[in-house]
Amino acid sequence: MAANIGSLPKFLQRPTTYSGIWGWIVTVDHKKIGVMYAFTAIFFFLVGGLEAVVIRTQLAFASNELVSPDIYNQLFTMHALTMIFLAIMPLAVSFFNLIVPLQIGARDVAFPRLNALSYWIYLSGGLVLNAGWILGGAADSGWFAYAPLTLDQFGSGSHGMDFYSLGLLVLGISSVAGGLNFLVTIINMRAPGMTLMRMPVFTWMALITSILLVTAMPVITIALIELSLDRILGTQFFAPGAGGDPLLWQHLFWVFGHPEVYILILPAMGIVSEVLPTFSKKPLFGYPFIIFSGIFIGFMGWAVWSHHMFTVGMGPVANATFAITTMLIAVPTGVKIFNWIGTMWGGSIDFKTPMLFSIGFIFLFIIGGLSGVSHASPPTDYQQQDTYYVVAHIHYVLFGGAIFGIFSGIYYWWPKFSGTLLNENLGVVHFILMFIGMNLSFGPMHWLGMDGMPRRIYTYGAEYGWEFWNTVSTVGSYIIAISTLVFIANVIITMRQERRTDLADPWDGRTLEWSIPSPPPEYNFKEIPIVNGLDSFWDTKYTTDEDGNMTPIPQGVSNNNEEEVAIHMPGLSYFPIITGFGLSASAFGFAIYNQYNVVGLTIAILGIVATFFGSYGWCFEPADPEDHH
Amino acid sequence: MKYAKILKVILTTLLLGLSLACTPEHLQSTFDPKGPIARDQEYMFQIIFWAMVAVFVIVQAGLVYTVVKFRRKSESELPKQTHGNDKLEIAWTIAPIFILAIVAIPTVSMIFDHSEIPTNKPKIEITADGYQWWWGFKYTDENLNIVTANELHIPTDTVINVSLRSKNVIHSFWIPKLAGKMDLVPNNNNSMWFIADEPGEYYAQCAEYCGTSHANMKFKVYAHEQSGFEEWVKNEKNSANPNLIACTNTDANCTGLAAKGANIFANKAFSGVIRGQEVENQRCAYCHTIEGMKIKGNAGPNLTHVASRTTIASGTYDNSEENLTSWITNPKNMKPGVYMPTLNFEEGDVEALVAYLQTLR
Repeated sequence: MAANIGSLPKFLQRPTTYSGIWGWIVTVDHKKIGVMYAFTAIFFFLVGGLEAVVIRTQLAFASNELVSPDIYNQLFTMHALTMIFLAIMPLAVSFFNLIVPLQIGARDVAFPRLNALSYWIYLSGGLVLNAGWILGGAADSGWFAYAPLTLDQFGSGSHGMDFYSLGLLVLGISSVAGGLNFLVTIINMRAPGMTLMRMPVFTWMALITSILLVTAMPVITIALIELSLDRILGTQFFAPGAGGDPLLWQHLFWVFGHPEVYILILPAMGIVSEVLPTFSKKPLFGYPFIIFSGIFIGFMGWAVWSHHMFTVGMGPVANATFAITTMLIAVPTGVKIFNWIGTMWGGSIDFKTPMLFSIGFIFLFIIGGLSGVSHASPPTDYQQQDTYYVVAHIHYVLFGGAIFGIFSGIYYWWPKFSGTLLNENLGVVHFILMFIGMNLSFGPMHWLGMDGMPRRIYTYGAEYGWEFWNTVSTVGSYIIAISTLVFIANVIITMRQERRTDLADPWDGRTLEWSIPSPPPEYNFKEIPIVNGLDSFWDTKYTTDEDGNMTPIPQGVSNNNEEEVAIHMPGLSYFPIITGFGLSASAFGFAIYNQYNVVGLTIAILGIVATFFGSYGWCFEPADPEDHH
Repeated sequence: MKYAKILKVILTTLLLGLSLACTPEHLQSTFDPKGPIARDQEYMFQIIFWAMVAVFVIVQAGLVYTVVKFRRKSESELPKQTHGNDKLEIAWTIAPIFILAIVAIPTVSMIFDHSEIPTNKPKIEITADGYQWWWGFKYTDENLNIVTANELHIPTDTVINVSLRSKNVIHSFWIPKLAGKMDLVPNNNNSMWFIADEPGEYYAQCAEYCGTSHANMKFKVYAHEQSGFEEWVKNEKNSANPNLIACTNTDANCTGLAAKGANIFANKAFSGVIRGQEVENQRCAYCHTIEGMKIKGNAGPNLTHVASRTTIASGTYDNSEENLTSWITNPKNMKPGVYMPTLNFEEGDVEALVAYLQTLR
C-alpha cells in the first residue's frame, strides 16, 4: 500500500487533521455525514415547500394568472421530485446515518468512504436535478414522467427532462450505495448479543428500507437509461411513432415507484416505533408483529405496482389481482397502528413535541391509509385516478405520515447530536400549526377530487364550484409554511445556545444511543456494549418483575470522564467528494448536451475523468495516514 | 390542548357554514351519477366510504381515548411493562381481512360486470382521438359515419362504446357524471362503454397530464332523446352552407363577407408562428376539414359544423363572435402552447373568417 503514496500528489494524500469546513469535506464520520444530509435535505425541503406555496397560490382563485402554465408544470413536477428524492429520502438516510450505528453499538458504518460518496452524489445530483431552473426550464412532465410526454416533440420545448433523467440517474447511485452500506452495516456490525430480534425497530425499518433501496433503484435506473438514450441519442424505446411502448415506462416506473413509497414511509414508521415507547414508558407492544408487518409491507410493495395503472386498460383479470394484493397491504399497516395504540395503552404518556408528532403521524396516517383503500378498488379508482382525491391521499401518507414521523425524529434525536434541546413551546406551536395547516390544506382535496377536479391543471373556471375549497386549501398551505418558519426559528435559536452536558439521556430512552454522551464522541462507544435483550439499555435503568412491574435501579454517578482513548477510526479522505462531484458533473454534461453540445461534452468528459481519478485514488489510498512513515 | 380543540370546533363550524352558504353547481361531481357505470362506481365508493368511516371512528376513538386516558399524571409513574398479547394481536391481524372482504367482493364482481358490454340495448360505436389539446370524435357505425370534435352528442339509454386512440401522448377520457376514466395510450387500443340515463349537458375533461395546456383539454357530452339525436345526426350529415363551399372550389364570383371568409379559409396562404417557430404557406384548410372542400386537413378539429357547437378551443371558451375573433387572431393567448399558428392576417381577414365560420351551423 505504502508504495503507492508516491503516485499521488501531496495534497491528495490521506488527510490527517481537519478543522473548519475542510473537516466536513474530508469527513467519513457517520455522524457528520448524517448532519450534512439533514441540513441539505431541510434546505431542499424548504425549496420544495416554496414551490408548493406558489402552486397553491396559483390555485387559490379560479382563472388565476400568477404563473404561466409552463412554469406551473415545472413547479408541480419539481415540487414532487424535490420532496421525494431530495427531502424525504435523504432525511430518512440522515437518520440512518445518525442513529443506526449508535443503536447497534457500532463505531461507524461498514463503508465509511462509500457513505461520504453517497452524500456528495446526493448533494451534487440534487443540484443537477434543479439546474434546469437556470438553464432554460426545469423538468415538467410530472414526477412519474409518463412517456411519451417526456420526448421533446410532445413537450413544452424546454430541455428540463434531461435534468430529470440524468439527475435521477446519479441520485439513484447515491441511494443504492447508501442502501448497500446500511444493509451490510446492520447485518455485520451489531454489538455482541444483538440478535436480529433484539434490534431496535428503527434499525429494523432501516434494514428493510435498505433492501428496498438496493432492489428498487436498479429498476428505475433501467427506465432512466432508456429515457436518456431516447432523448440524447434518439433511440425509440418510448416513441409511439416508431412502435415504442409508453406502458413499458409505466410498468418500470411503478415497479420502482411502489417500493419507493415504502422507502419513504418505513423509516418514519421506525421513528414512531421508537418515540411511542419512550414517551409512554412502556416497551413496544408486540415487537415481533411490528417487525414482521414491516417485512410484509416491504415484500408486498413489489406486488402492487399496477394499482397506479388501473385506468391504462390492463383488463379485468390484472385489475382484480392488483386490487386484492393492494387491499392486503392494509392488513400489516393496520397491525402496526393497533400495536402503536397498544404501546400507549396503560402507559404514562408524556406530551413532549416528539410524541405529539408521533401521535399526529398515527392520526393522519390512518386517514391516508383509509383513503388508500378507496382507490385500491378499480371501480372507484376510475373516478379518483388523476384527481385531487389522489393528491389528498398522497399528502396524508407522505406529509401526515413521513414528514410528521421525520419531525418527530428531529425533535427526539436533536439533543443526542447537538447537546441542546429544541425549545418545547415553539415545538408545540410548530406541531399545532402544522397539524391544522396540513388538514386544512389536504383535507378539502378529498372533496375537490370527488367533485371532479383533475390534478395537474394550472387553472380552473369559476363555474366548476371548486374555488372555495381551493382557497381554503391555500390558506392551509400558508399555515404549514408559517409552522415551518417556527421550526426554523426554533433550530436557529437552539443552535445559539451553549451545549449542555446533562443531555446524554434526556427522554429516559430505551436504546443504546442514549447510553453514550451527547454529542457522542467520534468513536461513539468507548467499549462496544454487550446486549442481553431487547431494550438492554433500559434494563440497566429499571428492573421488571414477571408481572411487568418496574423498579428503578439506583444509578451511580456516571463516570463521565473525558479522557482521550486511542480508538482506531477510519481515516479521512478527499476521494468521495471528487468521485461524487465527478459523477454528477458527467451527468450534468450529458444533460446539457442537447443544448450546448461542445460545452456539455467537455463537462461530461471532465466529470468522467474526475470519477475515474477519484475511484483510482480511492482504491490505492493507504488505509491509514500513518502508513507512510 | 383545550384551546386547540375549541379552535378546531370553531373552524369546522365556520367552514361547514360557508360551504352550505355557497352551493355552486357541481358540474363534474362524481356524487351526481347520470348513468349506470358512474352510478355503480359511486355505489362502490359508498360501500368503501362507510366501511372506512366505521374503521376511522373506531380506531381514532381508540387512539384519542388512549392518549387522553393514559396521559402522564405524575412524574414518578411506573407503568406496567407489557410486551404484547398474542391473542389480541392475532385478532387484529385477522379482523381487517373481514372488512377488506366487504370491499373486495363487490370490487371484483363489478370489475367483471363492467367488462361485458350489455346486449339488451342499442349500441353506438365511437372513436375518441386524443390530441394536444383537443378531442376528435368519429361515429364509426355505417349509418352514422360522422366526424366532429370536442362535443359528443349521444342518445340516451344507448350503449356508447368508445374506442380510445392517441398518436401523441397519453390522455384520459373522463365524463365524471357518466363514467370513470380510461386512458388513451399510444399503441395500446383501449375502449370503454357507458350509458346516459337522461338528456343533459355533461362536462368532461382530460384527466391524464398531457403537457402545457392539459387544463384546457375539456369536452362536453350532450345526451338527447332518440328524436333529438336523430335530428342532430341529420344536420351533421349535410354539409353546412354548400353554396359558400362551392365558391371556394371554382372561380365563381361570390360576394359577401362570409364568402370572402370561405375563400380565405380554403385558398389563402399565410406566414406565421407555431410555438415560437416561423412557418410559411399556412392555410386554414391544411389543418381543418370542412366537409365539401377540396383540401381536408386533419391536424386540427373538424369544423364542418363549428357554429353549432357551444364552445371553442376544446371546451374552454364560449362560442361567441368575440371569442372566435381573438382565438383566430392569436390562439396561443387563449390556449398556451397551442399548435395552431398565429398567422399574419391582413386587415379584414379575421372578420371574414369569423363571419364564415358562424354560418357553419
